[in-house]
Amino acid sequence: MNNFVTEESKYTMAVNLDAATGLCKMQGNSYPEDAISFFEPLNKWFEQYIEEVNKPLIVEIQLNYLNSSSSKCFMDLFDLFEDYSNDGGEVIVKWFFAKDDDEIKEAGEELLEDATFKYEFVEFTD
Amino acid sequence: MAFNNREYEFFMSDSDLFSLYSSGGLEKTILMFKGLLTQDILVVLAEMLANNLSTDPRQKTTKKMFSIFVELAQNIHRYSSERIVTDGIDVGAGIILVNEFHDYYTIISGNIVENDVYQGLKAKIDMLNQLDKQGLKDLRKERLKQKRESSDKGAGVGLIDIARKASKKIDLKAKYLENGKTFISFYILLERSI
Repeated sequence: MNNFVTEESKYTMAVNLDAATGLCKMQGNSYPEDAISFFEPLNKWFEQYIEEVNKPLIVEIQLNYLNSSSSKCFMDLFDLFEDYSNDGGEVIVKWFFAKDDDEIKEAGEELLEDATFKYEFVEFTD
Repeated sequence: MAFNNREYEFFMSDSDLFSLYSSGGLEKTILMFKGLLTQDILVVLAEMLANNLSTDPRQKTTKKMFSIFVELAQNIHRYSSERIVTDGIDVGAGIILVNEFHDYYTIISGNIVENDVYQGLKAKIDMLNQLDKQGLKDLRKERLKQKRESSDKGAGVGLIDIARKASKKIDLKAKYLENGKTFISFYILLERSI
């Protein structure tokens, strides 16, 4: 299975999904007008990983800003992780936030607080 | 004559531009834009806004401002009935301005929509304005978990986010135009946090 790599733009994240290790990183801003189109290939990659590789997923997310439609897309992604986890798959999401960045911290809490897969919040200083 | 007479007269009437330039009095305009809100323009404006506010040590306000601005601008892009297809992408037009006062900022956006779009927005805003902080939080979560309707690109979360970040209720004004259209404007107030 191929890796998935996208360079960062001013309004879309750098994405690096590694099929060999299950380590998946997303970093930057996320406020495209059409978030669904941006997230679609990511969802497809995760679906294929779950289907074909079926190993643990370590998902590291470090955002500066995300818009409302990106929040919705993250929720859809986490629903997929939820199903994987319920079927016995191993998932951990690490949500990074800069010290004092309450907005991003809260955004992550609201997306993850009902999740049954593992997640943790990681504070960092610039 | 190569140009339209009325356009020329407007162009020449500097009093119109001056009244716009000087309207409002004490506030400082941080940003004013009228035109097509392409993603590229939105990014430039949003970054300009963030840079302008970064001298403000209260980063929390900057983040909220950024968020309100992006959601309002993307609403214009989605709902404006004044549209042009540019480079194969369908883009909406409108106006957006950000003013700075001593204790707060105002973010105002305006665009033309079909009357039924306005009615739909008004119903949503009236409903959001009834809710308290917890009510808005619960509704947001419900909307995030809901299955998408195919027509709803924004998932309806954008207005909730604006309502949650604003310091006062969302003020939606309307001016009825001809041909079943309405000019709508959102007035958002954001306190400068300490």
